[in-house]
Amino acid sequence: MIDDLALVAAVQKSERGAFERLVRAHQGLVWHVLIRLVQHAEDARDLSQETFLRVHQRLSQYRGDSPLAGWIGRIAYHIGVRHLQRKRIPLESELGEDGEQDVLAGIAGEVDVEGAHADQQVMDLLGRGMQRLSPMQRMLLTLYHLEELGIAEIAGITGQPEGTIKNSLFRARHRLRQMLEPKLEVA
Amino acid sequence: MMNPMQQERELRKQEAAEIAERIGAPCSDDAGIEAYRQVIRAARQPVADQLPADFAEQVARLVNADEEVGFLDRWLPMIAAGIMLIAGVFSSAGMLGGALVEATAAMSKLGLEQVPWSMLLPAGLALGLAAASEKVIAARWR
Repeated sequence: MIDDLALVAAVQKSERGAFERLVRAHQGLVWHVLIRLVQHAEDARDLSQETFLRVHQRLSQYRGDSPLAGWIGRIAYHIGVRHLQRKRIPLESELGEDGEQDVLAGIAGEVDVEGAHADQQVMDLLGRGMQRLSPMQRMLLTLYHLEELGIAEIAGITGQPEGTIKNSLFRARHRLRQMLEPKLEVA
Repeated sequence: MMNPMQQERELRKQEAAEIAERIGAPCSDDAGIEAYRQVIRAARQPVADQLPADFAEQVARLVNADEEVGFLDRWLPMIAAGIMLIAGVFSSAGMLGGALVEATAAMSKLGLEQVPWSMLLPAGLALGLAAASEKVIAARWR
């Protein structure tokens, strides 16, 4: 937190290279939030840029009472959600659990888990399965497992209660696992 | 849909898979736990698309360019306003001088050259103030 405040102060004093340091430190998180939400590389790049421009504009509003990463992540999340709203893409899936399972089963049918590259195929299958999850579930899986953020940090970014985050994560993992189930039983 | 007992069982398997992955435990006999471990490994896979290597540099350049434009944006209107103010003062001083000469000539034609300016000025101010107050009151009651 002290480092965060020092970095913010350096940016506000227009110290050479300070803002570049800030972007470099947080671009991974911003990218993961946005690429998982919008799932379109070019849009996600533009939105990442918009996020950091907004961070720069609003830096005087950062009080240092929470980690800078969460504050920046929240800005990225809101920019991503607004983009989805403009494109009329729902943040949460509108399909029921059964409907989503049908979509995932369609992908599972394409994979031969008994083949020579079974592990890689399963990873590919799950990767494609993740792409079919709702934007929110994709983002939560990535923030929790890849970025290794805690539930409280994710709740801070999304503004959702911790229980809701845990439940969404549980459902996302369960759906992906169900997609694997018939294949593993055959194998 | 899962019933609460199934849900609880699945949750335990997910937690066990998470711990097993964290500590690098050997394969479990429970196929469910192993499936969840694969799901977790897939979620940990790096995202294929990435930001360009010089992304931070690009954004910093954009911000610096914005700051330079912002500096000009802040100061140019002030400089322009200053020049206009000075020009306005000079031109209105000329116009005011002319008007005073005309007013004095008109007053002398009316035989009012004896009325002192010290009386005319407060009278004019009072009339102006009255007109302004009337407008304010009318606007409030509209």
